[in-house]
Amino acid sequence: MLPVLQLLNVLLPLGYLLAVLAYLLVFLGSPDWVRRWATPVTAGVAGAHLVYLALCTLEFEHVPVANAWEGFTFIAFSMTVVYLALEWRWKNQATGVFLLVPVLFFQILSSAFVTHSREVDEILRSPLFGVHVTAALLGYVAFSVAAVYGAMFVLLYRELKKHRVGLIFQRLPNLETLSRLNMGAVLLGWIGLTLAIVWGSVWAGELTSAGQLPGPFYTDPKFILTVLLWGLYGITLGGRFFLRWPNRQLAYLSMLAFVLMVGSSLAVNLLIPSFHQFS
Amino acid sequence: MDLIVLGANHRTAPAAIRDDIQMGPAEMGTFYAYLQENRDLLREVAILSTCNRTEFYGLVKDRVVADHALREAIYFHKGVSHLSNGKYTYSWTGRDTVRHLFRVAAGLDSLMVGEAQILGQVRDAFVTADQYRATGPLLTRLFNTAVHVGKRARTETEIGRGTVSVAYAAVEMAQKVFDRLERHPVLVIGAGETGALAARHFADAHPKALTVVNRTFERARELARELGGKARPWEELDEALVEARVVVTATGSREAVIDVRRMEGVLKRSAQGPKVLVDISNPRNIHPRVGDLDRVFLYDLDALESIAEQNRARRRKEIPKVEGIVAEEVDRFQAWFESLEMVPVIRALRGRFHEIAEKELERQVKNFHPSDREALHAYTRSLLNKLLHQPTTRIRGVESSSPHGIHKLVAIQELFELDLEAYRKGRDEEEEGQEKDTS
Repeated sequence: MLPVLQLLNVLLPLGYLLAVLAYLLVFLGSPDWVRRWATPVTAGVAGAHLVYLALCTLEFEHVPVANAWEGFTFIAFSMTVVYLALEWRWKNQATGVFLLVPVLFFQILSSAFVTHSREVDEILRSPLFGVHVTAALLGYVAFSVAAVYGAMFVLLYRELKKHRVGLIFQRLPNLETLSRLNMGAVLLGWIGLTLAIVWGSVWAGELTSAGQLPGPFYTDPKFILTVLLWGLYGITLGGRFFLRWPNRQLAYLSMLAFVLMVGSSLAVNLLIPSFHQFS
Repeated sequence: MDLIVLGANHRTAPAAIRDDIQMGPAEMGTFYAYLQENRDLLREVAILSTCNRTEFYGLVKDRVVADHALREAIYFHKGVSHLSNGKYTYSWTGRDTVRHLFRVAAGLDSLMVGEAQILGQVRDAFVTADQYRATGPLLTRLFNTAVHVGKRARTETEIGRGTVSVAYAAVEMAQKVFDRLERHPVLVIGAGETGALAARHFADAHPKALTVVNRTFERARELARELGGKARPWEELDEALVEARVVVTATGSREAVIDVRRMEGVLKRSAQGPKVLVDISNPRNIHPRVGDLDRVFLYDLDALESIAEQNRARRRKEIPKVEGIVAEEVDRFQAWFESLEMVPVIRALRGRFHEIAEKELERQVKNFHPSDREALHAYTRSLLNKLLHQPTTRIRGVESSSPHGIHKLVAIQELFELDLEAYRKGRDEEEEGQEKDTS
């Protein structure tokens, strides 16, 4: 099974690259055949990705979310599924290139650095872990989607201000829809992250009492950064619902928070030791 | 049997002449009735008459005679001699006729390239001709294909994308900001002619509410009544600005009605979300700096003209793609048109039967003694010839230039699933092979 996994690990970024190129051509006004093939190709890559995740689970006897690199591939897969659902719902392929670029980015990171191991912490086999991780991944996927819609909002906003009716104007949904999707995704992500933090804190508290964690969970760098991130997204939501901040500022904030989210994840996993590394 | 078109359009004739020859619904009736009496000249006919063109499409036996007869008929019915010579007109035959109609339906021949109205007009022209029983299988196919070409042009290219009208550009911009204009109130400041025109465009988009504010309240009330909106006095302008999401200004004021300070005050009191301001007055009623404010999208006449021009330029860029679609469909139509000849149909029918017989023989031949096989082949050939003798004679008797005859030829092709193109190719290859052998 290992050679198949290694092959898929290489093929997945290439598959997503192909999907990104196809949707880029669609955005630029491609010939009909590219438009017809873009969705099936992406669905095919998502299918292969699902097989990869299933094989990983079977081969290494745990769901592949033991470290950030495994988490990234999970996020890439979930974002693709979210995108395909949105495309099906809207019958609009124009946003594909925007949503699949971060997918490609996450998958490249994962494929380049991922290491799988059968030897994982006993914690990973707990059902409580599943709830914690699912909620956290839901949050990260939603924040990624929010950042993409935020970027689209900013691009269209500029075009409208400058009276330009080029490709961005022609292809993207209207400003109000983009803003709604941007804030909707932030809200969903914030709920997911809240659940992950609360659930994780209660559970980590119990593990600390049982002596299964090296120290108090609230001193863990990843926990601190996650709470800061949660606070930033919370401020964004507060600005939207209570302080009536302009939509453009909210879009910028969601993009900034996304950059911090990815940056902090990389920093914690590459530079700072944390109990959030299990393998 | 040939296809012809005779017409005059915005390129060949000035507006006054186009008006003279344009045909209304009442005139169509008498004109079609007259043409019916000359069925021997014009087997099928359809008239496309709009403010920019009047064209006569026909299936004729003799194109010179038919062209002359048509010009005379127009002179007789319209009492104008503009079409009696070729000065203001154009006429095409055969493939050029097909190409012309397809280009018209695709919007390539329109004053505003890619305009959508012409497609409906082509469809209506055929429906009217059909109602007067002036069409037959050929024009039915021609017009149906033309409508198909028009749809393809608009779905596969961007020839019809984006408005090219300055007046409508404002609505298009508002629709790109808001999800649904039906959810947002529109305010029109000024009840003059320009204000009324803009208000009508926005009223067509069914906004949540339409309010008219004018210095003379009575005029505001009149316009509001006409558009199904409400009027407010000039003193309530700030309140109306706070409530509105789209604001159109078209007053005769020499000074800015909305300046930065006023707009900042309005924004502070307004609900969250953007505002679209459209200034179609000259001199401008909204200070240009208002457009720099956050949440505000300001479009004045220059901006709207620039938007319309960008759309026009994009449509022009799409012309080669649409010409490609037209060429492809003309080839397809022409192949079908040429298939309406007797000889290829007979050849294809016989070929089809022989093909079936050959396959069956191939399957059964092993059950026969080798000495009987030649006799089996001879028997099959003889049987086929006898079976096909009667249909072949009947097809030879079909008058392929009449609508009835065309119907028969089309029915035979459909009944036996004849692929004339394949048979034609096969025959050409066979002939080429024979030529090589002889050389």
